[in-house]
Amino acid sequence: MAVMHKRLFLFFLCVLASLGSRANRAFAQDPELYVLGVHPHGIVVFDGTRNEIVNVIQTRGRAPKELVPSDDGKFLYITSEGRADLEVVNLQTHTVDRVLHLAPPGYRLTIFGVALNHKGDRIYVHVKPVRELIDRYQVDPPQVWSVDVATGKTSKIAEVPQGVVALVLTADEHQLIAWGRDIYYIDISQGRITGTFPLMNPANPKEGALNTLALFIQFERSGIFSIPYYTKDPITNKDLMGLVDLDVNSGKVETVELGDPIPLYSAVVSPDRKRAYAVMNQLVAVDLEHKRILKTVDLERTRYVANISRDGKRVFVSGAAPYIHVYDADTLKLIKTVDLPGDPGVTGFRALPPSAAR
Amino acid sequence: MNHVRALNKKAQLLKERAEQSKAAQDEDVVALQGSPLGCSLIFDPGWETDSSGNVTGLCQPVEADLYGCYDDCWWPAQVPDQLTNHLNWSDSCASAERDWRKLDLIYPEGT
Repeated sequence: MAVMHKRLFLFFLCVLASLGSRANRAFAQDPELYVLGVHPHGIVVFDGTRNEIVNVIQTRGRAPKELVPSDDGKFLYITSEGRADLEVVNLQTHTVDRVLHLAPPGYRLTIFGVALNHKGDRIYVHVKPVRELIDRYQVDPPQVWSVDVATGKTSKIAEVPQGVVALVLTADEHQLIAWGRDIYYIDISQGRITGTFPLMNPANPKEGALNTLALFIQFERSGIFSIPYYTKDPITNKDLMGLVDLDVNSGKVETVELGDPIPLYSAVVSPDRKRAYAVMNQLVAVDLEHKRILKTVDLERTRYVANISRDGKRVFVSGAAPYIHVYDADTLKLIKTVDLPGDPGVTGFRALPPSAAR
Repeated sequence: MNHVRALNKKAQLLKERAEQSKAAQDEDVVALQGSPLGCSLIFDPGWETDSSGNVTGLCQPVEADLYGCYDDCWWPAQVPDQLTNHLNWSDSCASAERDWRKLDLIYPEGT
């Protein structure tokens, strides 16, 4: 019997070891990676399953701002060097493959808004061109360009009003959506704005203008690009806040009024689209189904941006100061603080596709 | 002044305005009591109030927000601007919150 017990024990040990090994392999194969830029020349790769930094990629330009991963998780396109350059970061080798200098001779550009097609061979950028003449600067109208990733060749699609800071591509890849003082729908084949969702210029005088700042772009988990808005009701003269939620696949916009203003920079929507989390001096949990604030906690310092885990159970808060704070999504209790090698400043905080290499 | 009464419409209007102004000042004091000391109170003239005239919407501490303002020219009169003139200002200081003493002052060219 003793021998039988010993054999059974060894058998179970083998089974457990095998299960553990499989679990470890699955863990290793399915990391939950996030990227954000830091001063002066870095991209931090953060593992959201272990709450730790797994890589810091040296960029060629300073202070990365917008970060757009390719669908296959192999590349990351970033703006750097005062939003003038577009760098192609190889996420497998953790190096910068190329830098695309988009400005034609005699011009200076700032890029506010980057979108990538599903195939990964075409980038769309919103640029603000300034012509540097001998005796003066000449400001050209802001415009959206298409960039061939392989050649770096650019072509103009359409001019847009001043104030655009974000660009997204709809799922059918027929439309670009530019978020500025209003939300503009650009038909790529027609090369013009074909629709507008009014924010600062409401058509109805009984509606207040919705003031938004769409600098912090993260929608990977939910497909909803959510940004806080602030307004004054023209009838009651009351200050109000809420969220403008843009479905990046369909282009549909919904507004969620939340009541008295709390200063907030950005928001992220949970994978099930039932909750949003917004940050600035507070972390605010929002019930999107019932359009109300669930809970608010004070942060120890100002934060600009948040993202959320794949299971929706943890909220990652960063931007501004050199930390990532991990919060429990239900209780809003701080789970962990991760030190960063530099200040993120105004950076994106994007979730990488599951296929991205660790 | 309590014995002075408003006799015409203009005087009544002035009285209402004065009362509104006093109420607004009272609100300010309440707001200040409940607010963290934000970026308005540290070495940066120009960052006095937020968009609503209060301080609750200001970033805090100022060092945490410094590169945020630098990155996209948020306060170009108070902080060097990265987009146009001072691209290398943060080169020697990865974190303004930890090492802001490493940051140099910016002087106009030729001085």
